[in-house]
Amino acid sequence: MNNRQDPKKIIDLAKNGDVKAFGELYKLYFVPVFRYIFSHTRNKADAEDLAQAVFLKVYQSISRFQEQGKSPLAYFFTVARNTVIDHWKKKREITLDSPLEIAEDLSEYLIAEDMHQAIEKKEMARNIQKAIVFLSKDQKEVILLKFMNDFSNQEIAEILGKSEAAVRQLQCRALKFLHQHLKNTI
Amino acid sequence: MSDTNEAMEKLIEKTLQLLDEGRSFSDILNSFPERQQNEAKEIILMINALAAGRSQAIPSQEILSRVLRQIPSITESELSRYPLKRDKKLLKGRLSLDNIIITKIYDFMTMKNWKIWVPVGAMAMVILAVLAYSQIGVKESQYTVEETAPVAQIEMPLVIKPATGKINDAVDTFLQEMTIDQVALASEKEDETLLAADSQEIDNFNQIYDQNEF
Repeated sequence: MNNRQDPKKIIDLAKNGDVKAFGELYKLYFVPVFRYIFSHTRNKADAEDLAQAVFLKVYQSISRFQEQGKSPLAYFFTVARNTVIDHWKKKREITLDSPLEIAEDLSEYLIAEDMHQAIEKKEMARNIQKAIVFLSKDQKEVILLKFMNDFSNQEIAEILGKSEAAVRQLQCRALKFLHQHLKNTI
Repeated sequence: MSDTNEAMEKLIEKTLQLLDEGRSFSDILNSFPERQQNEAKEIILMINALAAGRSQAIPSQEILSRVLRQIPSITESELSRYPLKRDKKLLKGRLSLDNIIITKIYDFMTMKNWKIWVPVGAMAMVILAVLAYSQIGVKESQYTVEETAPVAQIEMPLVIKPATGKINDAVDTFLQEMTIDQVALASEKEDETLLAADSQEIDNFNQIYDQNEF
């Protein structure tokens, strides 16, 4: 993933109807940000609103990010993380994973595949989503960025401001915890 | 128990490493011994389930289009804070000096990397000022040197008499044409001769002088 392109340029081009720029914007930034927010909110409507807010904030403060020398992707995710935190502060509630909600939300996005496999995956995903709640904040971030968003360890390290070794360690401990939790609950 | 934990950690580390190398799930499973196959399979299934969420959370492009439609409304309100920047073509008539200055300042402050160019420009000004000052100092010292320069020697004007056709007159004229320096040179040579004679006399005296006699 090329995350060194100027997002403002891409956004401006996409705004003006450049199809290629729109595709790049969608692939490079919008899908990862949306996925990240969705994995935290578990609500499609909230995820859409928050993703919109993230893009508007990034566009407004784009010059500030360029001075900081961060990569565009890291900046998007910093804004996304802060937006999600603000969202929860406003709501003032702790969301517990609801298997039914997840099932309903995810079903809209299901890509056509074998029904049996889809149900199995959904069941496993449901159990894992329950267990993720019990991870530490950093472990959860790493797991979601690594497996949900398919980022490399280097990209995750850049987004979270940690070393790659720390990211690997967090992944390892998170998976170990999830495995133990699933074994205990099943 | 701790051995089990350590073994599980190593298994997970190896799985993640092979995954980062791009190995398939079946390759990863086959890389473990038989006694670890079950645990490795559980970890792989878990990772697979987490990754399944990736394909299940794809936003529609319509959402992005909606986002982009919102962006112009943000930038319009931003631009309204800077009416001169918005469109200079709209400004009719001659711009006042105030407007020109404000526009130029705005253009300067909104140009890219102005935080780099301002200090560079300031340093360049300082260097130029130092160079200018050093040049002024050199010229002043030159003037001082010129003022204290010794007065050039005044040569006595030569008086050349018109030719009379007589030899004696020509000789007289020739002698008169000798400059003061030439006369001085001649007298210096005389002094040298006298000095040489004196030193010879001293040598002669030393030869006949006997300290013990006195």
